[in-house]
Amino acid sequence: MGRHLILGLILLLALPLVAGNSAGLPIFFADSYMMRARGVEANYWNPALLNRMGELWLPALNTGISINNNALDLKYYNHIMDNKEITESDKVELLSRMSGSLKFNAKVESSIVGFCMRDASLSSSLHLFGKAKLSQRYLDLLLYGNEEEHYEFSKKDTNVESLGYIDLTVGMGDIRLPLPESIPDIRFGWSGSLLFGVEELDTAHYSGIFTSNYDGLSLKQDITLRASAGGLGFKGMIGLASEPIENLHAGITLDNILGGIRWGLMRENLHYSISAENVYISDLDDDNDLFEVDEWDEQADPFTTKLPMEMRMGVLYRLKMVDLSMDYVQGFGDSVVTSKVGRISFGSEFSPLYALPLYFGFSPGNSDGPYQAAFGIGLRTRVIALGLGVQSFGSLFPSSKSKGIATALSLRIKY
Amino acid sequence: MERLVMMLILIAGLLASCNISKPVLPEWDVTLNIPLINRSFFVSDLVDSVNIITDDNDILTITGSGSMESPPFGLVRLSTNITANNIPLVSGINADMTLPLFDSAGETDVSYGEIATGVLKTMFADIAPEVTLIELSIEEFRFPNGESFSISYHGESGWQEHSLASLRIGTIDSGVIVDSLHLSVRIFSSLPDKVSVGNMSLGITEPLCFRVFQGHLRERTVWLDEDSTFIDIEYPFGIEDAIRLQEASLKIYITNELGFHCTFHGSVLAENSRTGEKLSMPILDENDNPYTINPGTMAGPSFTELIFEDNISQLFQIMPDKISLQDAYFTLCCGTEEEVGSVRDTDTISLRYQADAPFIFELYESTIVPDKPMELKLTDEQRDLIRTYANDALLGLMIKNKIPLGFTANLYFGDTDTIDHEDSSTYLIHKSLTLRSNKWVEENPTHPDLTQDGYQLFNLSLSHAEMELFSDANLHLLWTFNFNNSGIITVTASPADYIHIKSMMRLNVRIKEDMWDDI
Repeated sequence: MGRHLILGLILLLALPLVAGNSAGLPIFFADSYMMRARGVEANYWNPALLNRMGELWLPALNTGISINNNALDLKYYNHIMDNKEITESDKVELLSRMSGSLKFNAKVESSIVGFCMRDASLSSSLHLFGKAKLSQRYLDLLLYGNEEEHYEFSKKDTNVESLGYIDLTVGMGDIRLPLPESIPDIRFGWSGSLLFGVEELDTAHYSGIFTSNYDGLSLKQDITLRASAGGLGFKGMIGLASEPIENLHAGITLDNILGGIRWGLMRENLHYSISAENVYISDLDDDNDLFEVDEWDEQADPFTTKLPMEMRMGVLYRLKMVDLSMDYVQGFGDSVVTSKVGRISFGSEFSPLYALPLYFGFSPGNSDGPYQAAFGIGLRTRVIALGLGVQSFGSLFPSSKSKGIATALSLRIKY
Repeated sequence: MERLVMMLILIAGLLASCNISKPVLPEWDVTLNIPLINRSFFVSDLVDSVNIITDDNDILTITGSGSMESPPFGLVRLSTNITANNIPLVSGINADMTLPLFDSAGETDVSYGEIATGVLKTMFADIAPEVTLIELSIEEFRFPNGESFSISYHGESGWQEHSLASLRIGTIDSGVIVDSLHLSVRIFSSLPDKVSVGNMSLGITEPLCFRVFQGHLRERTVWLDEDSTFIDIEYPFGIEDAIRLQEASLKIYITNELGFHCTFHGSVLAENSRTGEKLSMPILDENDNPYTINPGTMAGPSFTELIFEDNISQLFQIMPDKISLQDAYFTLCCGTEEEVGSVRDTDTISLRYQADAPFIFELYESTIVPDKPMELKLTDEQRDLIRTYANDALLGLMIKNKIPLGFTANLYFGDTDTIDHEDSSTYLIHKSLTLRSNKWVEENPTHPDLTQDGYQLFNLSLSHAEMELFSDANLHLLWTFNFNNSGIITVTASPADYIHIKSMMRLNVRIKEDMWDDI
């Protein structure tokens, strides 16, 4: 097992070389990180927190990888595989685990380079996002058969999308707002990101109808996937931060301002169509296919992938050996990177020894996914901070009950 | 440092607990609703234009037809025995004489005839040497060009035969019976007149046979070819045991090339080969006399149509599968003395007949049972699929019956070919459904077994145990039908007369790993 663990760690370190890099530390806190971000990280979390801190990010050494779904876990998988049978109670449980659809999320963020000097920072990271939804009705069909006459599927519950881009972000913070002395200092910061689109896959259209009754078997499944590569875009972020009460830090950010990536280099619409109309077994013979399958592609017009704005609020309360934080994030639109469903998260750092901090995070589940629990450990000096963490979805600890897992590596060099 | 080590050990322990089972395709049960059929079966599809047709009112009609023909009439024979011996011949005097011509059997009088065979015999004896030529002519015999028939004596001795073939006798269409032959003899010699120069003998002792004949024919019968006197009827679905047809007709179309009136004799025999029943009906008119058939003419044949309805309906009460004309023949009417008939040796009398039985019938309480169960042949693969994957099944049927017949169908499945629907030990599965007639549907539109648009709903289920029978290599099916209706039923075959069937199979199957390879 030790060998596996070492191999896993090596893979974790090597993966950014393949996939990219971004901040890893937020995973330790289940993303309750806005008011914790310092240095280069503040470029992405709250630029107002950029303040006289020198920090250097090296490629691949700040990485977070997250894969999860909303229904399945390893224990349940083992249960099915070991029994070699899906019983009626299994079916009920399997479907009850989904809230309308089986959802998969994957995210890789990895730093490429970053440094921070005084109140400004310049950084670059790679971001890969993937989301997929499969309607519960498909699972219903698969497990129970076509017990109902009519099944309808839409893009809302069944889709796939992915987005990959590299940002080049410059930020400036620690700008004190001119306020009366009676009001606590409020610092302002901004960051702007030039986005280099790597790839984009989007379900432009998805509709499906399946009926089977005395009028025959009819099926209509139309899918249009929009694939593109080579884009250029921008997004901006502004943030405020303050310490209204001693040791209590609060902040707010608005991200993805004017966010979007214009795709122009390679654009293609991929169409898949499957249809069958009023088919009866008696009408089938060797010369007739049950379905008509059509597949074609076409050049798509240039288009822009919009990144909906996202608001994040956070508070952090620091004590001597421990701190506590709470974040709330609210997107203003659904996309591969944002969600209209708000999420709250809590984080804590426990540092009985300065050199050996322990990290904890928790985020309650919502309709987008299960709850998350995170654990991390760090090793830090005044120059180097190293951290390793793991996050579990749907289970307090990473185990066979987890519906997903995220791991992160963090290494910062301070100067 | 100790805490860090403990933490790493804890993480390692958590990861170690993640035992991932080998992936396999699990088994599970699913229900598949599969549309099987959506099809209309029109009554008009039964029409094969051979045994089943539709009449002018779209009524479905069982029909059978056939034809019969007499042999060619052949040569008309006139048996005569004309002889005249030792007729004295005198120089300078033409000898004219008359000989009677009649049929020794008394059956034939000729008015005109084209002779096919016939021989005139002559013998000249004791002829003086001074005689140079003797000419004998018979006025009634003429060549086709109209010249009189004559023979000449040039010194031959003994009996001489002269063929009469191709000669004509009498005058065509004159209607005058030739009852005598007029002979004329002319003698050429160097002797003075009134000197006996010899004597002559002649005779027509063999029958004269005519290729074309006009005259009277008595006691002549024309028989029909017995080999073509059958009509075979195949009843659809073997319903002959359950119905009694109410109407039927027999139409006989006679084509007479003979130039004689005829009377048609014979009887219609109906046979039900299944029951052995036979019923016969003589062919007579309303006065119980034979039908008279008009004569043809030299210009063409006559056509006569005979239609029998009431009596034929009685014949169809035994649901015959074979109808035949028995002892069918024609008798020539000799006509009056003023009216002569005509005939050629190739003339025939032919008839075409058609028996029609409209589907207007009365139903009987009878179970239609095939002679033996049918074997349902499923391939080994199909049986394996059923055995391995099928749990149970439900066949849903929606039937719209637009015909006036309702019936109860019983299906008996067994693993032997000795299924007896009356002995439950001989079969393993019995399924039944009752299809109501359209009349019943119209009278019970709100019945719970009916949909709003008049479909009748049926569900036939097969349990898992019953499904196993379908994996048996010796699967047999016996089906039986009972008609439910009573009273007189008329079945039409218009586009509005059909049975529409929609069917769904609700199949509960077990998904297994090898299933996709097996299908």
